[in-house]
Amino acid sequence: MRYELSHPDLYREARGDSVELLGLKCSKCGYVAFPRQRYGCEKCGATADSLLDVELTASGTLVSYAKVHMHQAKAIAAPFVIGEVTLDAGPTIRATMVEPTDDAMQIGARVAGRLFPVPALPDAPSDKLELRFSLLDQPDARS
Amino acid sequence: MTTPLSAFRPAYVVGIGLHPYQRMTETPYPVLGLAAVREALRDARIDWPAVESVYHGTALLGMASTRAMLRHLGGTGIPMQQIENASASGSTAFRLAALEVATGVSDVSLAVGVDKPSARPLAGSQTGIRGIEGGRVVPFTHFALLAQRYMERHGASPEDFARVAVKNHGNGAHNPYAQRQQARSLIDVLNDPAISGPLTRLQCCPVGEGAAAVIVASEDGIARLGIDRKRCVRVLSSAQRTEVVYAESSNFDAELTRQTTVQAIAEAGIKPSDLDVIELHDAFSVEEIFYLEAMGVAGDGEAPAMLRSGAFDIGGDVAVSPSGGLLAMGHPIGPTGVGQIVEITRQLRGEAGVRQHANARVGLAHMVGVGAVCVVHVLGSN
Repeated sequence: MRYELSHPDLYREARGDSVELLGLKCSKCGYVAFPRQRYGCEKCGATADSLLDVELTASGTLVSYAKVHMHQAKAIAAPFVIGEVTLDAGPTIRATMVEPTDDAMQIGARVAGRLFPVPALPDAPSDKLELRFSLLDQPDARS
Repeated sequence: MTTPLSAFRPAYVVGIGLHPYQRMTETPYPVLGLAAVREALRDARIDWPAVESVYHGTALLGMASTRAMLRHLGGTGIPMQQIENASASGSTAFRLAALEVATGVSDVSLAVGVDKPSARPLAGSQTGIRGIEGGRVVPFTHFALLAQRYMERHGASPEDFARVAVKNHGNGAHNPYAQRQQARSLIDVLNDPAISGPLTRLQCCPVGEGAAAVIVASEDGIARLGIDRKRCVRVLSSAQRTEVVYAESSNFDAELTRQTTVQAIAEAGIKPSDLDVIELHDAFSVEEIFYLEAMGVAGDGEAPAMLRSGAFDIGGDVAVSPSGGLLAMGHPIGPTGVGQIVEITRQLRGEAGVRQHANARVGLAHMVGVGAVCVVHVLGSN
């Protein structure tokens, strides 16, 4: 079966198994932002006609992480790990990590986003593709 | 040309009152608010008809909450309004009352904060703009992410954050208005249920219900009403700012705090080292560390060592969160910023009892709120 993207307004599939985030760049001040919006530039106030669509490759550097042990919303099962990622394209975003624990997390690690089938509820069948980030294999320092 | 509060005539806090902060009950909100306002009137030794305007900091009660509560003091026809500014609602109500008195529009104004917990969503969730984290990053995780970065950059440990909770719960144990009145050891705090990153439950503030009230008056009002001048505390400055686009991945709450505090202490004509008492937005333990450094009270990365040495204890260099702060006194939202002014006034009058920081002369109140907004006031003993 063909999975649908759960948030086609936020990201799209790109070459190979890579993902692009749908961002914007202000042609007046150069500010690059995610997510995309048409209300006006947060930095300089330029209106929608100055906000250009740009695609931001979902890869970057982990600048922080947190293992979340509890969550109030019943539809969100804890624990899970949140990563804070500065994308190579500029913006810093927060995303759910694939890794179930923070044991291997390290600030400065390379990470990338991939699409995974994720059930809408913990026990429901998977029917949508959601974006999750994960650690990329690190070059072995000894080799 | 613009003019700060301090360039107008002096405004003073002349009366303070609280209803204890507590877990949500069936108690209707007017019971909470009226208790705090009547206590503030008794404290100032004035009667309700002397009050000329009301600013009511409240975020969760809903439309038109103020007169529905205050009509039971007897209608006098004065202007009243609700002030909603997230966690800084009460601080903003106090700023407006102080500005109204300083600029001469009124001689006596009331800032009151009343709230009860509500599940109403933030307007930010209805802007039509959403992120990719799918509701998984709530405030405690926002601060857990900042905490992890701080630990990495400064070699700090989870214990460094937990010590904030130990200090503030210790202070709250002596505050009869606090929601949490139990002293906790470092082991208690660290062994408490894990919430997010290094934060345990006792490092996250309780959001309950309560009320706080502060009466602000001019020299004319004080003279006309025969208010005791020795118990008046002067509002030295008031600063309020909102977030801008900072450098990518910066700690925006700390940056906003830095800019707002710089403005407030410059207007008051003081230095950070002049502060005797600080009440700040310690909704999560790590915030106290971030904001003390952002305010210039501690150098970059130095707050944990100063905390360990007792510098921020009552009786230390500067008493930080002597009320117990949001962590122990609690964070009922609308009342919180007004309650900070109550505690600082008590400290600067020398009426804080077992929580008294000796010779307290200058105090600073700080709140941030989602959005992000920041409000800072500096008060000085008369």
